[in-house]
Amino acid sequence: MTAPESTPVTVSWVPSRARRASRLLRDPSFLAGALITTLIVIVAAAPGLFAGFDPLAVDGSRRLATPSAVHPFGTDELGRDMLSRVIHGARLSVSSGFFAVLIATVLGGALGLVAGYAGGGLDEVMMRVADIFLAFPALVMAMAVVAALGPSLVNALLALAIVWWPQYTRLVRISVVAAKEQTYVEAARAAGVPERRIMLRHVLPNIVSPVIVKMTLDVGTAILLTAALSFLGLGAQPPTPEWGSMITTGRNYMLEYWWYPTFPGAAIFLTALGFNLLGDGVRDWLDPRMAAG
Amino acid sequence: MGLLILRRLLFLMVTIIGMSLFVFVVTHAVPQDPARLVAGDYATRDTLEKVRRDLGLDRPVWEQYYLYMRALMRGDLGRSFMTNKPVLREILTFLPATLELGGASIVFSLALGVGLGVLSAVRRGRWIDHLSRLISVGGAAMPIFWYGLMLQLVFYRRLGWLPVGGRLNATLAPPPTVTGFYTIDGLLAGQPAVAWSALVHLILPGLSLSLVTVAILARITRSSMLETLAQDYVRTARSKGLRESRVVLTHALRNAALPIVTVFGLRLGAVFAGAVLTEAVFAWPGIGTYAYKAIEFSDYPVVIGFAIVASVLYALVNLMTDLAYFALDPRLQR
Repeated sequence: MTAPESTPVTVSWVPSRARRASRLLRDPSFLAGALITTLIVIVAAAPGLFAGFDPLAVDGSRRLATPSAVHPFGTDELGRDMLSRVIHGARLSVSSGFFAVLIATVLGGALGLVAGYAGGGLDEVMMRVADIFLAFPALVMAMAVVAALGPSLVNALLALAIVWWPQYTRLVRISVVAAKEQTYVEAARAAGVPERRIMLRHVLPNIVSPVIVKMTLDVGTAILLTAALSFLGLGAQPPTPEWGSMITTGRNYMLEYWWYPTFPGAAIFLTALGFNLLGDGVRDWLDPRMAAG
Repeated sequence: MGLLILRRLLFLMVTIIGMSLFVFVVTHAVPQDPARLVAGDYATRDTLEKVRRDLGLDRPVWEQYYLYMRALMRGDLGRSFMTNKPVLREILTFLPATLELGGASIVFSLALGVGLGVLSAVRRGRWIDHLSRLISVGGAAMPIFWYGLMLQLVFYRRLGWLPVGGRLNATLAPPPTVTGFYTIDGLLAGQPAVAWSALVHLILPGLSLSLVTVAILARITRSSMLETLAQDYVRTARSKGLRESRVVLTHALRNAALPIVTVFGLRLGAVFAGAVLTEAVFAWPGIGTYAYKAIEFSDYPVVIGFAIVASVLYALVNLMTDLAYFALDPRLQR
């Protein structure tokens, strides 16, 4: 991107993006995050290549087997291979976290773009509505929404997107308000470019990086929250191999068979950790001003 | 200051109206029929009609909302479909358990989070600093329900040190209700065994609920302390010959407190959300468990009531945080 710096730089010196990128490649926590997320995304893309068993195949002869060479994560109460179930769960968790964030971004971003660009009464009303949504713990509100829509993984991620959009509306709005005072917008307007085109072709590309940073940071949280909703029975339903709902069933067997809830939970932890580390790195790279503090 | 409180209370009212409207519309837009729920699967058509009339479900949604809000002004949150008892009274009976758990987690968060942060700033680059940063990074990625289960596996199943869940040993009767906090009520009633059991039962859920806050507080305390420890007044205090503990705790920590309070305040509201998960893991009879059961049975008056009570608590906590800023930094009052 060769676009000019769109927002006033408030710190005295910010290294160039290329320099930050080369520094990023030597940052061990970013590299760890990139490695973990790459592995998990590969597994999520083609679980069949890695899983040794059918995640839904019931086998009464090997119920609740202790972890062994054949079943490294043991088996569950129906004799299903836990490792294969955890591997297949990656696809559901990664994609639900990703889509929840994506829907929230598209919805919230569009509203923020309109609010920031239009200003005035419309802006005021939209931001007060956003405030109301933000004045509420995300999980509690997502629970209420799922209660109404009925429990399923799709509804869980829709609920998350519904409670999450105002954060993106705020972020995009504030960036648009800052960007629209810039000279290049004035120049475009003076050249007679239509407003809609200014908004989409001139302002939007210049406010993309903080949004990408926030999306990367939010995917980990979204994975944690969809897993939490599934754990509460409000997301994926059995026998779907989803990590949160595997833990729900597994806790009934936990005191005798420790491995049952342990491995799906470790998978959630590792995935969220990977995305968080990756997000921190992307933030330092794309938006060093946000990294201060 | 008075103006700030007034403005916040006004916003709280707008929030409640907006939020209840939202939840109301969402819960009424779905095809599930609450009357069927109340009357049971085998109810005749006439019974269903009667139940629908009794619940006011035959009226248009906006009229139902108006009636609901009019009742809300009187502090009436309606009746639960399942138990037919007033929702507010039920929430109030479950609330002390949640507040006691929240209180315990706040104590843990402050002690562990600020403690770790201060230690890692003072012993920068040593093992405690590395440990604290590990907790900061790991805590933010931890599914707290799973963390709670793992605590149960280790401290109940493996070591046998702590109970697996609930508020009291099954052999003990709850103390007479004064505050609703079993630890305090146990002491007030002169039953130290009850108070002790209540305290022991708070440890694992409290730890589990505090983890995310500990992670965030440790990080912010560390960076804020590193900043103040480099200030001139800290050097002055040291050169006066003050003991190091006094320099760190009174001179540096006090001045590092503002960002810590900010972050802490932001996290407090999240404690209520996390309480739902923690209560589910530890069979804790609080409002989280109550709301969770209500969702399972599509008991909408309870779900909406819980949402309203939770948002009021959330807003009050935020208000108290703002007031705490003013106490810490009088310059902000202007």
